[in-house]
Amino acid sequence: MKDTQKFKRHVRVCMGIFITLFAVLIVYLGYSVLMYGEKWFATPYNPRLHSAAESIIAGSIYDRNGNRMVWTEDGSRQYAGNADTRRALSHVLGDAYGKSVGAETIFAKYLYGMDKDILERIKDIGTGQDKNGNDISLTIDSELCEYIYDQMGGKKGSVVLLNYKTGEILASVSLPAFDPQTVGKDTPEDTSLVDRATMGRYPPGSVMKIMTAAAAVEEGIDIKYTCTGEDIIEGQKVTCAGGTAHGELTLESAFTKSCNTYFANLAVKIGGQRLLQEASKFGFNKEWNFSDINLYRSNFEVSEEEGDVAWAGIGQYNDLITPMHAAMIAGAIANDGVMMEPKLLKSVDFNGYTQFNYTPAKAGQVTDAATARTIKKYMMEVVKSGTGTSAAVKGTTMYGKTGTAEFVEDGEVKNHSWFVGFIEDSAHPYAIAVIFEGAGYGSRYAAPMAGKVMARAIR
Amino acid sequence: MSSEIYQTVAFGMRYWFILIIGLMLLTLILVSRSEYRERKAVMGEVGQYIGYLEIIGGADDVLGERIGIMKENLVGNSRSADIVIADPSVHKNHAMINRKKGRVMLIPLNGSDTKINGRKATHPHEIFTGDTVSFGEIEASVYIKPQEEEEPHDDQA
Amino acid sequence: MTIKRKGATSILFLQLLFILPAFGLLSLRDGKFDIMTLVAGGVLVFYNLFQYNMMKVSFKHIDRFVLLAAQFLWSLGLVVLYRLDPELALKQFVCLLIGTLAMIVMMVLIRRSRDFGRLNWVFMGLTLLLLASTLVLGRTTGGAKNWIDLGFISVQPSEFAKILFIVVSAYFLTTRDKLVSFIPYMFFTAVCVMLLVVEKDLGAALLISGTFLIMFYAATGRTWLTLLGVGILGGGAFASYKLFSHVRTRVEVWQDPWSVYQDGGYQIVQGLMALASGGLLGVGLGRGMPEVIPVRSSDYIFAVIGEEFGIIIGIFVIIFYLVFIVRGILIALDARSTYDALLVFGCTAMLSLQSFIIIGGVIKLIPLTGITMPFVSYGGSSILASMIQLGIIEGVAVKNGKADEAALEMMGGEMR
Repeated sequence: MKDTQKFKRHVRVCMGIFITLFAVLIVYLGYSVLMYGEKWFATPYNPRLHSAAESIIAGSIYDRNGNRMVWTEDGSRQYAGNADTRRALSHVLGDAYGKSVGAETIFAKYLYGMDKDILERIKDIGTGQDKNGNDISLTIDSELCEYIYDQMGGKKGSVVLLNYKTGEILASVSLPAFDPQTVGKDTPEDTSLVDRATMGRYPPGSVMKIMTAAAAVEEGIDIKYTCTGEDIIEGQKVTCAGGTAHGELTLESAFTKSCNTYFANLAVKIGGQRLLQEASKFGFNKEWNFSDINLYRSNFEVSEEEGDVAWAGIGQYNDLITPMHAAMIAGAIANDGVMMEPKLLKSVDFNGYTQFNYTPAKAGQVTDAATARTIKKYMMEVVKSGTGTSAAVKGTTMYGKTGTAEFVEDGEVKNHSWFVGFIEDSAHPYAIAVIFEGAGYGSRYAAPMAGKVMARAIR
Repeated sequence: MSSEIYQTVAFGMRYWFILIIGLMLLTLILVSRSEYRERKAVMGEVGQYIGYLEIIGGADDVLGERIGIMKENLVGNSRSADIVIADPSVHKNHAMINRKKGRVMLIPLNGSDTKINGRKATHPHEIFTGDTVSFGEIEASVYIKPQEEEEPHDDQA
Repeated sequence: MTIKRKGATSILFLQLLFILPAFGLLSLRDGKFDIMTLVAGGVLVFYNLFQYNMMKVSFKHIDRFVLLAAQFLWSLGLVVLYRLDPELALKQFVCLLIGTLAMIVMMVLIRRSRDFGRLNWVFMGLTLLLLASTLVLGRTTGGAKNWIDLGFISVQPSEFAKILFIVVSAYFLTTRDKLVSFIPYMFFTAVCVMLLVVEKDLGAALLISGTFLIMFYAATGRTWLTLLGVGILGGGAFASYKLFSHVRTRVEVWQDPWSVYQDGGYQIVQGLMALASGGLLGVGLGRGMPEVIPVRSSDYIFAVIGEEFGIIIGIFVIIFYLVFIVRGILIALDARSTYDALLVFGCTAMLSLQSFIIIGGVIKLIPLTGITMPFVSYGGSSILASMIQLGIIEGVAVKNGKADEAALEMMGGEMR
């Protein structure tokens, strides 16, 4: 071992490697805590939240109209309304026992006053207010949620209503639901703790045609095709609902009538990779990191087989979407292609002072404004003369798309009933997504529900 | 009540700790860096010397002074020389001391008064450790560093 | 020419401004003022100042900055340990005192000898003995069999084996040139690593293999061989992933600890929540909830620091380690013999790997491994080993300084 110069060079190289490693450590530490710290903190596993609950009087939760939904009395959480009200709001509010993740946990740092800085703390000790947390107002309309819960009639599924200009969530209801007041003692055995709106990943079925059509419009593809009710794409059979033959179709009429065989061919024409690209723009496969809700990832993939691409284009294959995401997409089409970030927290108040007001944020641009307007036209036809006529709302124009998503349960083929849509009303810029799990055709169950809810929302 | 005092004080002292530790770190980095640079500069210079001249006679104010010898040196009394001997009897370009092929040569310039071990030198002549050289009135003893070698290991006798 | 070695009085003063208020704060924790806590803080300050000045006086050429960085790290450790349990802090402090003695002994040893020659074969045997001893006498904690109970104290022989490994490596890598002569040494390394894997002490196994690769590369510069070694290490890691269920669990836990919360994800999730709870500034000393963090006094102490002192100070701690490492490497580059250089480099490499691996594990950058944070974590063997390595680094620094001084004085300069 003779060469000192070379040795020194190697040592210097190692020094460079060490410095880089530690720089990575520093950056990763800072980045992950700043980006994900809130998410890590606001989980039921965090014993600090429970210990805070013991010494601090948690603040109240109000809805957007000032109705108080939850408050603390004698050390325990009290809820407005009856058992049905509590169930309607259960997933949005969450519970105080850590069984579910809702506003109680996500906004715990406000409710328990953990976000106060040193001057506020000193002031609060002085005025004897230090044991109180902040009150928060959510964007939710609790009466609308109650109505939705009632109208769903116990059927499994979810309804989400958003303001597509600001991203505010006006309603997010998921059935089956639990009772936040009693869930501490009786943990339900079924899936009622799951918030289907944000955690339920379903095949979108024909609702996916919105994305496929957008890709076609962007690429300038408008095929002419005659539908005979069924078609074979590279060995895989594609059929239209009920085997109906739709006849000669263009993109607009195929969309209005929700023709599977047309869109299957269209998907193949667009190509798997291009569809994948479009889906990514629409937010599929993205790990959402929103501040107000925990939204599960939607899924879209393709394979080398044209048959798979065809099915993926009409919302089957391995496509998965959450009702929240579906509502976001409908909203994006309404909003010239701009998808807004869903917001649940409207404001934080302490002692009458508003300390924090939410600000709308963009989540992405799913498509360009011109394409969005074209799709809007198609969606208008769907409700006017197509599969979504039962979603019509008196006094305003409803735009939408129905979906009938096939899935297999216990060897049986069943259908989820989907409807997504929106209305154009500057006072009520609302988008909606409805799904009834395993109920049947989109036009038969989800569409009329959407019409009813929307009518109620603009009352 | 006292628990609240503790909570508030502890909460407030976060800033203090960040400040102090940050300052500590900053000072540590800055001071160690400046010491490293200084040291490197000086030792670098020292490393380049192949030997030195020690003044043993001629002028009292520079007696005992050691001047480093590099690979190529101009001996003279002006500031631009490599080996500066500030004495009127020393010319501006008095002599050169160069090392070529391991041999250190003293090269008198332009008829200057340069002696090696008492005898006048008119041509380039090799000098060794222990020699006495004089430039004008100034006498200096020569020390040449032996060539560097690695420390031997214990089991390599 | 003079070199004026810069004083560090301001840093010592800042240390005082950190330690005394911290202990002062802790003394108020139980409602009434506890004088003993403040005294403890005073003792620490006094000890640090005393040690610093004593070292500066007895060994003119020590690297003061490395010592100061280490002082900050163990002081922070003591503050946090005292907050967790004053008894732990006391035990740690005693180990620190013993450690200082060990450090001085090491420095003297380095000063006086070249390399250990034939003695290295004895060292190899000793290393293997230490590592194997836990197989026979060992007690299993936390899945790894690396502790030996000796009555009132428990030791981790692997910590000392690590140091012997560095010494032996430095010897073999500087005295041998041809690859063939390396074979007994490589065989020795492989056996060490395998013993550790069998004992399920994956942290130490990783440290020894990592340090070996780094020292090998530095000494021989054979990039391709080193990369081959890295590949073998990777292959070994992959094989252990397939073979050992506990390795599989570790990787699963690293990828998504929340989904396996009950089976092993608990520690990482609590650590992350502690860091999140602290945020940038921390929640304040004594205001966090470290009780829920497993192994909080040794391996996971970084999470406690993150919660109560905040990420900013967490990053400062990482930078302190970085300063330590950079200074160590500069000492290695300045060493007069390649043996000394490799010795220092090995210690620096091992300490840097160690701190990187444990901090990386806590923040979920890499899968968690059970090793301690040098100087900060609680643990007699850990502190002792870290101090010995510090002694090696300082020992060579002294040698460097002396050689520098001699060269300088020969030219008529001086070092003050």
